[in-house]
Amino acid sequence: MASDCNRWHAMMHEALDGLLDEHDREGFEEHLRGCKDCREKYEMLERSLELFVSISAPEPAPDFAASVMRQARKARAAHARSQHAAVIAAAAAMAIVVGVALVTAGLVAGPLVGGVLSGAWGVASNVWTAAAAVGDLLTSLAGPLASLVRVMDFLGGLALILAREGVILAAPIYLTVVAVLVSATLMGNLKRTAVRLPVLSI
Amino acid sequence: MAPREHRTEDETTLVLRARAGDDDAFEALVNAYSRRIIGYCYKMGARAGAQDLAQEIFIKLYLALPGFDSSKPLTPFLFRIAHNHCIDALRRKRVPTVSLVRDDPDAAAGSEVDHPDCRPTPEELAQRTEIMEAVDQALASLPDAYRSALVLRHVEGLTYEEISETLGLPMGTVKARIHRGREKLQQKLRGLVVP
Repeated sequence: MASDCNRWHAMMHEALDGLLDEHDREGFEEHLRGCKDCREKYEMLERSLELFVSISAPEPAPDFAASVMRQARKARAAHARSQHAAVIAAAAAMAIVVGVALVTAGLVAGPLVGGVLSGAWGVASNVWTAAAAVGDLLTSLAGPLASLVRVMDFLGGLALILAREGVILAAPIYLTVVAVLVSATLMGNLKRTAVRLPVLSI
Repeated sequence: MAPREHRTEDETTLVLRARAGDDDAFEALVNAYSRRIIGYCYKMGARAGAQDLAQEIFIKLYLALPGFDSSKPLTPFLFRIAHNHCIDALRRKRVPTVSLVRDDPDAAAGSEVDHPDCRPTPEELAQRTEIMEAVDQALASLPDAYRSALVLRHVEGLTYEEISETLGLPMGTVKARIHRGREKLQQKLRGLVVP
């Protein structure tokens, strides 16, 4: 093959694609007219492509489109279901992750928070206990005080009664005692006893 | 080969409606593309299973359409789904790859069944079947990378830019695959195409 043929051989595919400009196409056609090898090569390429294109494929079945649509709708429904399932699976996975994270955080932070709460509860409990103790003390003091008050009140009342009624009540007794002592003195036996007789000071 | 006009006002409207959940619009898109997608699956090697594979591709499109940028053409997007799905299915060998040429000789006659006067003679049919079987085998023996690039370029009429977008490959790689694919195909069909 001459070097000139090599040049045109390289252009055969552009010629088959119809991509040669007018100048190159005229030169190519002129070369083919004068070169049997290149002409036969080019014709064989053209012919093989014609045969290649001539292979007949089967025609679509009459219900091809309808069948496609039936299957497509089923596929869309299945696709939607799978997407729905994927969303649920993703949500479940997220819930598991969040749950694990919360449990993990709880295991770590729980003792800290629990300790703080426990401490606060202890303080509150102690304050309550102290308040209760004070309350108990006051209650325990209140009883004797009340009793004392009641005793003092009784004694006060008794004193007032004695103060008010004492003279009346004591007078006959005192007079009786005085009469006995006077009588005894008068009888001459109890002169020293009469000296020791207490004097009621009202 | 002039590239096809892939994006029309009607298609843009249909895509927008289908994206919004209009099943009638999507069914119209299926009707518009079903022949091309079945053909692509068939030529990629999914012979008897081409219709089933195409149905799965449209279902994938149906589910992917809400995320599709409607400012872009649908064709590269759809063929990208088709290409990836075909390659995946064929690698898993879950698609029957028996040649329809061998199983169903009438398939070679194609739409001529509708025009009895144009029916080939038994001899012509036998010769055509033989040729188609040879082409079929040649196509099947091509590596996936070359076969997909050739189908997208010469059967579907996609531009190099669209094929680059469809296959997710640089433009230079696409060109190289198409050029090498043509050379390999021509070598495999040498017995049929010698002038």
